[in-house]
Amino acid sequence: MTIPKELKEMTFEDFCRTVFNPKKRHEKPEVLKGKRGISTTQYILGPSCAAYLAELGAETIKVELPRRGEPMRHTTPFNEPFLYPLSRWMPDKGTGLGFFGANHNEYFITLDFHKPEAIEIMKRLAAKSDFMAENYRAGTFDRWGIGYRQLSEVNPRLIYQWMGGFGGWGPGRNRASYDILGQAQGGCFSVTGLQREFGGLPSKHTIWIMDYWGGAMSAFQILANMWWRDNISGLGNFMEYSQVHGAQRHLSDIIALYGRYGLVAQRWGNWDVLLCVHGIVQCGKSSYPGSKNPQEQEEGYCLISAYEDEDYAALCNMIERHDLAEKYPEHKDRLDPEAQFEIYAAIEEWAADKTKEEVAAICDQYGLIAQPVMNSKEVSTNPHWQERGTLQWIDDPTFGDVFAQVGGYLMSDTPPRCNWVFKPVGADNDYILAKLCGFTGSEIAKLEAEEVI
Amino acid sequence: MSEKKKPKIKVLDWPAVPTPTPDEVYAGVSDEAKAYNLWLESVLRQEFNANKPEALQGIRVLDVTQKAIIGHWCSSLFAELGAEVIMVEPPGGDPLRKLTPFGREEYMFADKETGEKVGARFLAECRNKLSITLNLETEEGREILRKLAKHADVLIENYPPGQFDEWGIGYRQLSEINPRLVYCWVGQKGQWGPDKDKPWALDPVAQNACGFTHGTGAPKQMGGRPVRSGWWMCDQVGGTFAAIGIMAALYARDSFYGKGQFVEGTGAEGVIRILDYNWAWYGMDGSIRPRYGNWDLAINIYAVNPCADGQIMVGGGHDRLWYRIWRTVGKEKPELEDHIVEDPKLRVVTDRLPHHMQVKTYTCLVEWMREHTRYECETALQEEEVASGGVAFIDEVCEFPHYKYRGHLEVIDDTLYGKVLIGSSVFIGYRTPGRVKWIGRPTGYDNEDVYRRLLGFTRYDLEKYKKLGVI
Amino acid sequence: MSYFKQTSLIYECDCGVINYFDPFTFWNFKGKVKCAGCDAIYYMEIEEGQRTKGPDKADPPHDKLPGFAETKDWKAITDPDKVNPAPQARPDFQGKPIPIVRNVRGKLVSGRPLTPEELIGSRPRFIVEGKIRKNND
Repeated sequence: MTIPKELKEMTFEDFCRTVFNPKKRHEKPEVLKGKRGISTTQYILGPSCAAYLAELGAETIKVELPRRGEPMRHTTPFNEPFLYPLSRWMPDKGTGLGFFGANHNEYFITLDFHKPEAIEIMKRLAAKSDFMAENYRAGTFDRWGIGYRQLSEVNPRLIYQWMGGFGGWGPGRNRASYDILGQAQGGCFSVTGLQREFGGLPSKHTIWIMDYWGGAMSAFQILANMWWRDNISGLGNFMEYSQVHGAQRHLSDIIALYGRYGLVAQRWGNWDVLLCVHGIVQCGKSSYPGSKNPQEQEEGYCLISAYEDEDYAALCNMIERHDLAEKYPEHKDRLDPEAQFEIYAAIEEWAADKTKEEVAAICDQYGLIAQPVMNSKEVSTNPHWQERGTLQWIDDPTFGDVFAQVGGYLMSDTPPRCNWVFKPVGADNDYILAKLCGFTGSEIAKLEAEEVI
Repeated sequence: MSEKKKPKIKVLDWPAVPTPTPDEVYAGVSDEAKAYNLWLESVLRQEFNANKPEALQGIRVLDVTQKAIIGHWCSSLFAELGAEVIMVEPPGGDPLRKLTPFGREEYMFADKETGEKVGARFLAECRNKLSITLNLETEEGREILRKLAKHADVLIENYPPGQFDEWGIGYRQLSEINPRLVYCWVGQKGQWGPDKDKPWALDPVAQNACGFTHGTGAPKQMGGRPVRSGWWMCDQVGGTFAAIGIMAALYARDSFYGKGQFVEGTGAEGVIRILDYNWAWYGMDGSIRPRYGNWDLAINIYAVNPCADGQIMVGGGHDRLWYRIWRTVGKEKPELEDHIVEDPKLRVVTDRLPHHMQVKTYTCLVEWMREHTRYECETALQEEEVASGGVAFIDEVCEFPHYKYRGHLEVIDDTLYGKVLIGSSVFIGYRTPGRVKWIGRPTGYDNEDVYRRLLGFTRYDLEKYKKLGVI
Repeated sequence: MSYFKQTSLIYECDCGVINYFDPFTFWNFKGKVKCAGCDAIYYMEIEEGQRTKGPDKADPPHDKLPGFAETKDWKAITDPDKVNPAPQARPDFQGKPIPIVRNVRGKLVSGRPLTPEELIGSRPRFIVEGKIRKNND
């Protein structure tokens, strides 16, 4: 059980590099080997939950509507990039990149739930599954005879995770939700965006965060319940995740301030309400003056972090504003909103003739933490993420050479992995129906002809 | 701000407006139509939580993190599901305890016993946790941590990369003492690799490093600049992924593997995992995802835009909803509806995505919305079954009838801190719901309990270590 | 009078071109904009989305271009000298599907429409084989 001698003698950095080596992922066991899940989900919230578990090795079966598949396949940024084919029946159509990242390692089958055969197939799948992720309107699956109440009779060990916008009960139970609706009504917008003084409006998080992160919370809950089932109780479970609830969980601290002191938190742009100096400042020069890409022609931005007294003194020294060091000697003084306006303006004045890299390098000389704002190309090409396996070129069996995000965390002994990014609509109909539902080739052909699959 | 300038706010008890009752919520709904909703209420309502078991009963977590929220967030998820989480803080407490917005001490929370003030940011992630103090800069302190590690299933730390290893309390050493230990390091960019963390780098380092900030905010052409999230978002997302890694390691340990392992979770990598299509898009043709403000690159209509009393989100990515939205607008401004539906450039869903088509769409939509409040827009759109919702500020969030009814917010009536309103556990479930039992503990409040119970300390040991500055 | 003479955020110029003042840029605005059709310059003030002044004819230079503009027969005007340019992800950004078979590092990727003959099961033949045959690309 002890760690081998050669690993003990390495530097810590080499040790980490060895045990977390992403190239060795496939030499290590999968956490969820032999576990099976069903994902009857659309958009991002439900699919991503199932995908995180599929990355850990669960055989996850994604059920989509026949023909066009789920709506997210038809979304892509500015209508540009698509991966072809959408399905063997529609090779001239593609799947948009909105679908990417939320469906790793899954098997793709199609079912039209309005047909009785489809309900039968769902029951056969549920009988053999460990978890199920579902995000139809609350009560729909129950009405169709494949909700938790019915499936738990077929399989009492089934862990059933329902996910949705507002949840299945309460005044807003019939409301549909999307990611940014969750962000808007949950309160996330209200504290994000440039300050009113700079003409800023409440802003959205660029990512579908309430969906993708909500999926992660749900995946955690499923894992915890599988642990409870297998080690303690032997029982399945029914869980509900409401997307808007996630927003309140995120903002728990400002909710506490509202509850006791009646404070309504506002947006504070690129600065920080708890620490100063700890903010993102504009650096006047572009890092790529010769580039033709407008994203690279922009001026740069950089975080400067110097909130401890001695770091702040070094910062004032760096920007040659000793008056500011004298004026705001203590952290409490610097945190005052008016002080923040003065200090950050002085830093931006100093940074006006520098690129973000130059600012970061000078901060480094003064022992300050700085982090340039990186665009997606800079992140993609940063060797750090590829060495750690966070971003990886995947040799996808269907779509070829694609660049994908993997895992989101590192594990030394049973790491997550990405074997394929997704597959065309219905690509595994034959395999799954034969393997798990006992259908023969001609029966499968009949189901297809009758548009059940 | 001086005391003089400080506004006097009369704070009403929460909820200021009573929470709706079930009778009000389901008034006029047929028995059949509400049967499933009522079944959900009967199995999911949080008022039944105390009758139910906790999923992670028997798991013990040492949260040896400080200054940042990522580790505390991560351990909160375990605490909500019933694990015993012990925060191991430096003597004097985690510096994060002292942080409060704009340094305003008057907005901190003091406990009844010690009077020590703690900021809301820290208190919100103290839920169900115990607090002990331990000075890891002393060899005695480290020796105590080694002993504690024998009793733990999980240890989470966020010290500078390699610091614990150097101190002899890293994964390599603790896994010898307790091979079943799941050891997790959390941080911003990583404890190893060419761009690894500098000591005590804090969010938004991760937000900048992962491409999030570049993509958030309005485009430059529209007068915007990159914007960070309003809170330490990467910490909270990265902490969630770290929790998945730890939970997976526990599951592996107890189902087939028999031993713990080394887990690493970072704010940047959690968000890289969920940054949509950024990487795939770059990989295909070298595209750099631009900022797009409150609109969406991949869906039209799916955006937040201003209206008479704030901003409102309207969503309708496919044809059915598209025409319903314009029908709603057309009831009042038929010219606008005609102007959109007659435009041959906007006939096909995908043709509506290019930027200038989005400009046309949203300008026309706002031409209707500018005269209406969020509530009026929402009501009108609701008639056509279109999803929409106003941008809500935190007072509106806290008073939102749906959230109050479902217990998204709850008042924890804490023995030490009094009544504190918080965002409750999102782990709603039939058999093993998450729950918040107490809001937090003052620094070192559980020293005596934990050190006696786990390490058999006597009052003399406790006194000695306290005197030496070890605990 | 044309409907789009009376609105706040949309304006039909005398030349017949309809200019769109997107809420991102113009929600609060005081200044001069240039019509995308005839280059006429207008001064106007918009407060919280309501046009409170103008549009009145004014002299160059203009402060801002409209977010978008089109003619009455639905012809889009997207010239970057006439309307505010689109945010771009690449210099050759088009805003419509671009068929590709090689990705940013020159390897095969299935980024273009296929015919039924180009498939093996649900997979593109050229990906399965790892090469592009001359006659089908």
